[in-house]
Amino acid sequence: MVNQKKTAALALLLIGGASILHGAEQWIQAESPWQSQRASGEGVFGTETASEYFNRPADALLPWNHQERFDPHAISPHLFGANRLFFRSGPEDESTGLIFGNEVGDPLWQELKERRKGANRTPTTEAFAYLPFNSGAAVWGELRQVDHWSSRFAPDRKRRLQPPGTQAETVRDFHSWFGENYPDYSSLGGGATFQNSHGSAAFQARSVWWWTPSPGSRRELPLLVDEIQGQFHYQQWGIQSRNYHAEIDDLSPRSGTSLDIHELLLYSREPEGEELWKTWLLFRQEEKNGDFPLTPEYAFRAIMGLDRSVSWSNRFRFAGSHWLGGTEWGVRDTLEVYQSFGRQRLSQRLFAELSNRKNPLNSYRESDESGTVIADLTKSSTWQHYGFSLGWSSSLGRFRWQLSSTPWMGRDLLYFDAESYKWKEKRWQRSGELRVAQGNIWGAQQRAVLSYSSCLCRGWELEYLNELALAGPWRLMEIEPAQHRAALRHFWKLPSGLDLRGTLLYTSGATIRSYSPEEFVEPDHFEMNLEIRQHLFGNRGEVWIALLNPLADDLTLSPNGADDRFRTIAGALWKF
Amino acid sequence: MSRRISPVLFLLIAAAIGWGDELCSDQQLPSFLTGRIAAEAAWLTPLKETDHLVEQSPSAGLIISSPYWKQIDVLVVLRYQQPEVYAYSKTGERSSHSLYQLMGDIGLMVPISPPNNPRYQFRFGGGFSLFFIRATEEIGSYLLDDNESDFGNWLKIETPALSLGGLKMRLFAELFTAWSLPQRTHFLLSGVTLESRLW
Repeated sequence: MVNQKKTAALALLLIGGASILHGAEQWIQAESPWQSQRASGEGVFGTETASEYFNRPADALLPWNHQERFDPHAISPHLFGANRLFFRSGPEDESTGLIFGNEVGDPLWQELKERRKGANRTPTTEAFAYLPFNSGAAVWGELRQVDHWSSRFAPDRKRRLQPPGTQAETVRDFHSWFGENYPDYSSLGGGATFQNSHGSAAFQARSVWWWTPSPGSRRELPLLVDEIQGQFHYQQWGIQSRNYHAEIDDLSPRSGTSLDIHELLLYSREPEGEELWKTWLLFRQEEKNGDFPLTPEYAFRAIMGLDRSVSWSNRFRFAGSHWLGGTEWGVRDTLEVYQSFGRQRLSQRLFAELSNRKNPLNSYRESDESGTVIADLTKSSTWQHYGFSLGWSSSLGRFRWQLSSTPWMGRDLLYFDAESYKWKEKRWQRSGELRVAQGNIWGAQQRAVLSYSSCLCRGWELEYLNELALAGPWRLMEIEPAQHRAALRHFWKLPSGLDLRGTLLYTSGATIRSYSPEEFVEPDHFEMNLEIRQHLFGNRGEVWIALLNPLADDLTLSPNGADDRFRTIAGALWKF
Repeated sequence: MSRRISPVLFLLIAAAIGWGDELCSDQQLPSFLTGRIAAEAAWLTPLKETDHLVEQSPSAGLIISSPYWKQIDVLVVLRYQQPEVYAYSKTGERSSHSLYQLMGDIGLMVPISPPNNPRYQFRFGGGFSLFFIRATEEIGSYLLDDNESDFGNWLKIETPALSLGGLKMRLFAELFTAWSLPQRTHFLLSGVTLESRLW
């Protein structure tokens, strides 16, 4: 069951790019979907702050940070070059509840013994409500604030909000909806939806205090982002309007400058079932007000896309995403062939991706206070990525296994060429531009999965992933994946409605380049996660607690990363 | 040391569960058809790490419990204490302060005694705690005058119940570990509960 779901999730990943949320019901719940993906061993690594990750899902292959990738299949909101999951359309959860978490290890009474202020640990707090009515309407609201990972940056963030030459007491004591930890993000929003048999309509508004590294130099921007979204569906057609006003909110000369993003998305919705035929057209207008550090390459642009997936006789499957916007374009196609011989199953997959942009929604020029361009992300140049995957899966009794190998080749890939670095506010800031890594780069991924399930309610899975950086300009790439990764996943659903889910993960350490003057080698380490979840009253209620990585050991997992700590999160949910 | 052993333990437990007896059937969610409420009066004793810095203190709590699965009960506890603590300033002067502590517990209680007779039945249990503390006033340069919170765990043993009309009285001892740093903090809570049927 787990294996099938996981395989299905991975297939979707390959077909749809990074539509990574499909396996989410199998994941250990953490602070955010990204952290849930990490806790489940699906590939995220290198936590920087609560909203920033170095993300490379196991099957994503390309040596880039996939949080910053454009996903033509999903066309989800992209802000400052990356897919930020807290700017979603609709509520995160259609239930009402509370979540509270803490980085474990607050000093509490130990301060009395230590006779000094201990290293503070910060909480995560979420409260949300979803109230449906019989008429088909629903209203929802949510407050989500993750203070985890903020204590390293809090003093510098505070300093940026303190008028020079004043006492600490005069510091503007907020950049969040509550508390004094200067968290990475603090989001308050709500909306209403209405649906009937013909279609649906939705409206939402949100306001987010957010410290985000800029996509170019990685300097932290203190933003207050206001969002208004509206959408309307009729049968399979949809129209969505997304509007963002991102304003710098500190005491620097640039305070009050802003970037306005207006998007209008017209699309045909995915019908139910295997066949997919989806078209979309995105109009995006970006307007810079004042001396905002990011200048968009285009004030206005239109991008159109076409997704198609089809399968024949259960043996062939084609899936493709294609987009075109002015002189920019991209295609991503996959052809899969299966053969079954009794319990044996062979699969071959051929894939190709070509484009002339790394991410069409991340084409900014970043300037410093004097107006000099310090980071240029507007490079356009054709790159290619091809690969072939051969897989074998089989089963014996309650065991199933699966072996696959995927050699791939990239040609003329784009990379950020950092010319200089500066250490400021406990972060590396860089300057440089996107360039072409001339030539072919070769890699290969081997994967072995062994799973055992005694019934639908209990099972375990052992996965080993091997990545080889074979040849080519690897030294220019942002991410060189860990050579060895292993995951043991386990779940047990007890008849009392108690679900236990655990993962033990090992990674030999990836290399992250061009974010710091020296290449950053992630330390090899174990991670362990456990979730205990109780379903209540016919699955209408849930209480859960997740113990996230008791082995964390305060490791730093990315060049600008905060200490990774043991976190405990507990929640209670109710579906009205 | 324990960090190195943890992955091995995890593997062993996962393997044991994977190979263990079938314990799979259709989900029968706990229905909470009956519920009980109990008042708790107890004495909080700090152990080793902080015993000379935190005074013993009385504690009052409210427990709601319900049958969870077979003979296992689930309980939710809310508890309050206000211990006196001693803090040292940078110059070494000792001062006394008052600290609010609010504790929330959730966990399971299992009957453990061999004869299947509730009159002689000891109960044993454990679960998770959330500690929330705040000093009543500013304490030097400590963080304690701000809201501080952390998770922890508890283990509890209860004596057989003494029936007093519709009420049941039990004695208990409970060991708490708060997951604080640089060291964990331990407390012992011992006292009495008086329980009544709620629904």
